[in-house]
This record gives sequence, structure tokens and C-alpha cells, in this order.
Amino acid sequence: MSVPGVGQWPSFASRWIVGHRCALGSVALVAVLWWLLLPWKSNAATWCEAFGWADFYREIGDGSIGRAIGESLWLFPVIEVVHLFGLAVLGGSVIVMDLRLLGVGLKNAVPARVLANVRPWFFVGLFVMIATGVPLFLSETTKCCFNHSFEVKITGLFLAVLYTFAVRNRVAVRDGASTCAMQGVAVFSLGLWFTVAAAGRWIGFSG
Amino acid sequence: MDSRYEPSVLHSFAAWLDSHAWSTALHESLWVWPLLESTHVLTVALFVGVLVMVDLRLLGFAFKDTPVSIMTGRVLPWSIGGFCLMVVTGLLLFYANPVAYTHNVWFRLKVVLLVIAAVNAWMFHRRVSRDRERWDSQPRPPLAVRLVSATSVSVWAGVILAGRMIAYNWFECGPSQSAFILWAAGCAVDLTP
Repeated sequence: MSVPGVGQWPSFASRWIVGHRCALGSVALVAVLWWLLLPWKSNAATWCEAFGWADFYREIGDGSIGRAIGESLWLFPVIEVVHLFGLAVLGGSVIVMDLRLLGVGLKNAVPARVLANVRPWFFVGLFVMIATGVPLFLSETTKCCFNHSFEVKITGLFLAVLYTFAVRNRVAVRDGASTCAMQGVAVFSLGLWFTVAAAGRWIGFSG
Repeated sequence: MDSRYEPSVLHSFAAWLDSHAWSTALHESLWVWPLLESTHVLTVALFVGVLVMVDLRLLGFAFKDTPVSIMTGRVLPWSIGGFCLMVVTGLLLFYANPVAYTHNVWFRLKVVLLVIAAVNAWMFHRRVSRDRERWDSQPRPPLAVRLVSATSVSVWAGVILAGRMIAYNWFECGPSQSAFILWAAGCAVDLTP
């Protein structure tokens, strides 16, 4: 692709916008959803008390794993580092696939082939994240029960996994999926996983 | 006072940065610091994540039907973009608390690992890739290529480990630390009892 001359920029830009209308529209929609989500204060703390979840959370955190991590100086950070390794593998596999759907990166490859290549690594990343995430949760269950970010993260995680299998991967393997559908699906995938990751990091800052 | 215990150039530089009003403002900010730190952590997914996908190709574990030049030409730039974001947020985070990081063993280890990673990347692009045409489409590239990419994955994993551990003050300069830690952390004052 050659760089357009100065006089061509307006038409180049307008063609780019038209060609990415579904991606841009989805970005706008994701931004609106974030704008609605951010100031939303859930009743996490109230629910935790009112429905008797606090006792339940305390109980599951009182197991041998939770106590061992809570009492150790090293275990929590070391498990968290492995959690970050999982983030890299999971994130990399999601991003490479979504970039293809957006028409960049491996743009000349068939989406189904890209998916076939990243899928095993998506599972590796997801497995590592859950296998380390559960013990991290067990070491601070009471904090998580009262924590709004934790609530957003877990909800987002369920939605993201569901969305990945039920929507994104189906669009990726479908022959003749429209460019518009692929772009929109990729933006929502990136938005969902970003929300999970960001809310996950924020658990450490809040509560 | 023994001349060995005069503040090092590194310490003086960090102390000078620390004296900036902006450094203090960043350190004490309620929102900017957490947002910078979160961006730094989340960019792991973009930078290391995408790099791992390229390294998996070089190791012969994924994208075996994609030429290496396509992975380095089309996918790697996204990782490099993530790296740039890492450097910008990382430098700002350092600026927020320069003296503590300068004398943090994990931070020092991270810098050493970053230098190793840079040398390794240089090895790949300038040395190992010289005869790339020969193995560009091979499902499993030659041993030298696989060694370089295995080094890349391991060193960046080490960077993540060291980076995460910076947050803990187990090895803070103080009289209770071993002589090795006092040396490795470059503690400026004689703290040995």
C-alpha cells in the first residue's frame, strides 16, 4: 500500500472510515458500555452481608490452600507471577485472532486457520489463569466478597468465555462471514477480555 | 567516612529525579499511578502475548503453515507497539519513585534481564535471520532459531517475575540484610552492624 499524496488524504480517510464502519461503531458501543459500567456501584458489599455470602466465602477461604497462601510470604506473589504468564499466553492468542478479524496482522490467512493455530494456546492460557486464579481467590475470599472489581471481573469472565465460543469462534470459522461481522465481533472480544483484565488488576487497588 | 560508602552516580541521579515536584505528585497521585501501573501490567498481554505467538512459530509449535517472515513482518510490529507502551509507562513509574527502585534488587535484576533480552533480539534479527530464506517456510526452523526464541520466552518470563517482585520490600536496604543483598541492591550507606 502506497502512502497517499497530500491531496488524496480526505478521500483516503473517508474510505478508511467507511471500510471500518462496523469496527468504529462497535468501538463507540463498547465505549458507551464502559461509560455506563464505570460509575455503576453494585451492591457487592450489601449482597455479601445480606444473603449470608460472607459466611460461605469465609468458609471456603478457610481451607488448607487458602490458609497456606495467606500465611506464606512468597506463595501469593509467586502464584500471581504464573497468573501473569497465563495472561500473556491467553492475551496473545486472543489478540492475534482478533487482529486477523479486524483485517490486520495475519490478514492474508483464512480466519479458520488462524483460529486452529491459536486455539490450543487459548486453552493453555485459560487453564493457567484459572488454575492460579482459584488459589489466589481462596487466599482472600472475604476481600473478594466485598469487592466490586472482583464482581465485574468474574461476570466479565463468564461473558467473555461464553462470547468467545458462542459468537467469535463461530464467526471466525464461518465461510463468507462479512467483513463487517468480523470487525464488530473482534472489537467486542477485545473489549470484553480487556474488561476482565482491567477489573482483575483493580481488585488489588480496591478494598 | 569510608570512600566506598559515598553515594553512587546512580543514587545521585535517582535522588535528583526524586527531588522533582512532578515525581512526588506522581508517587502520591490517587488515580494516575494506579492507571499507569495497570496499563503497564495489561500491556503484558499485547507485548509478551503477541511475542509468545511469534516465538511459538519460531519454535515450531504453532502457525507451522505461516512463513516466519509473515509472522515477523505482520504480527511482530504489534508486539513492538506494546513494548513502546511498556517503556513509556515503565519510565513514568520509575520516575514516581526513583530512589527506591534504584536500590531494589528485583528492579536491578529486571534491568539485567532487559539487556539480555535486547542482546538476544539483536542476535535473532542480525545474526540468526541472515539465512532466513532457507528456513522461512520450514514448519520447524533450525536449532539456532529455536534456541534464540526459547531464550526470548524464558528471559521475558524472568522480566515479568522480577517486575512483579519489585512491589515487595523483602530486600530493602537495612541492617538485617545479608552482605550479598547490600551489594546487589547497591545500598548507599554502610548498614552492616
